[in-house]
Amino acid sequence: MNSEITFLFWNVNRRPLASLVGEIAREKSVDVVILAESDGDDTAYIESLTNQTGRAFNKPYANSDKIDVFTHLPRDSVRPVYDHASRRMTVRRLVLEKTDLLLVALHFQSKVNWSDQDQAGEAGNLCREVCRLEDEHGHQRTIVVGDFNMNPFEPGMTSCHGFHAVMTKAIAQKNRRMVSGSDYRFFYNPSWNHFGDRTPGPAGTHYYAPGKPIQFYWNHFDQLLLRPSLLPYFHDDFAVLDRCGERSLLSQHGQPDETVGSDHLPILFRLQFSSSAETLNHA
Amino acid sequence: MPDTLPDLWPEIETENIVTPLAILRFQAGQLRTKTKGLIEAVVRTVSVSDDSVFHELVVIAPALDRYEYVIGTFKHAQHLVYPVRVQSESTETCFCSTQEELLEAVSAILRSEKVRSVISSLIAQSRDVNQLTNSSGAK
Repeated sequence: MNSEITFLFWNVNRRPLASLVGEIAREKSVDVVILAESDGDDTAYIESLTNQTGRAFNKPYANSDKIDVFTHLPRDSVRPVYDHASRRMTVRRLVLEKTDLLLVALHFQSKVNWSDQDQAGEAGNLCREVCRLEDEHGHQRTIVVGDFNMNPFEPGMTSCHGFHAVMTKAIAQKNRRMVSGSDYRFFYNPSWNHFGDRTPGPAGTHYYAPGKPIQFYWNHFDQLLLRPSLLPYFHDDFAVLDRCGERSLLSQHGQPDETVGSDHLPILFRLQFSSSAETLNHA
Repeated sequence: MPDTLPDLWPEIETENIVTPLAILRFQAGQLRTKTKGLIEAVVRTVSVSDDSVFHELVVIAPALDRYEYVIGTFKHAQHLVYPVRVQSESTETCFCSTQEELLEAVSAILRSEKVRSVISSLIAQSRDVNQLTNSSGAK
């Protein structure tokens, strides 16, 4: 069976990065590539991914114009579940040998056009859809990944009315909590571990410095959320990539270098299913 | 005080008021017949926290593990059915103040190239799956 599966997410900012994405896929043994703001040249991505990795990548059918998913897994392994182009979200069913997962990929509305309150409200709408799909599929083995255009600490990410994503596995493993008589499911958000200087990689995934009173400079807009039932298969294999081989994705000032890559840095994560995968279906 | 006071109310329509939900449900109901049972549509309604109601017009392909494609979202106040904010990938976001305007906006979405191409594609794939199922069942 697929004992481990590696995902790459990158907001490529409409830059022609097929070659670079192929290189990263080869270097990191990526199985599923998820892109936001692709330049639309699917053929270039499929060719580059296939040529560089030696595995036949394809783009499984879906109607998500704003998110592209490429994989070398058999087409039937990545099945379309739900597309909402206006909401910039696509949901796929990942059918592995002994289990299946829900993969939710999204590119959330930007802070340029939406206020924090707008984003928080929409986060609630999206999360309700995710819960509904989990109920329909009868499990909560759900991955949400994408450019949330919010930091992990913002209300849209943390509120029980939003994604309800918490900073430690211990809290997430409580599975749910009651607020005002209603029950809300947790997500675990590993991005909380990747802020500032005391991290193995860069201080965020996106650098932005307008002249406003409150300024974080580095933002963790590109995030991974996992339901607690997937935590036994997640061994902290989450990284913000700042280089590909010898090539840095950062400028000399240490910020994302758009002349090489994008204004966002890619994120990479891996799930490892051991022989106990049999039990995963019951998680 | 005069003997008779004037009735200040305007003419009020009581017969032909159609809510956005009714308009969307009717359109959703047509798709199954039009596609010979291959594709369905439903209207999914949620109340959102800011006292507004949110309807989604969702196309479903039963043969493709009930794959869902949301073709438009329609938002209005809890107690005021118009105006409606209409949002879709295939047309510009707009506000409809009357049912006539909403009918026009829904028509533009349903007839858009994007929606037509998604539905054609889902029909083709559903036929493939059905043929595969029938042929494996016949063995």
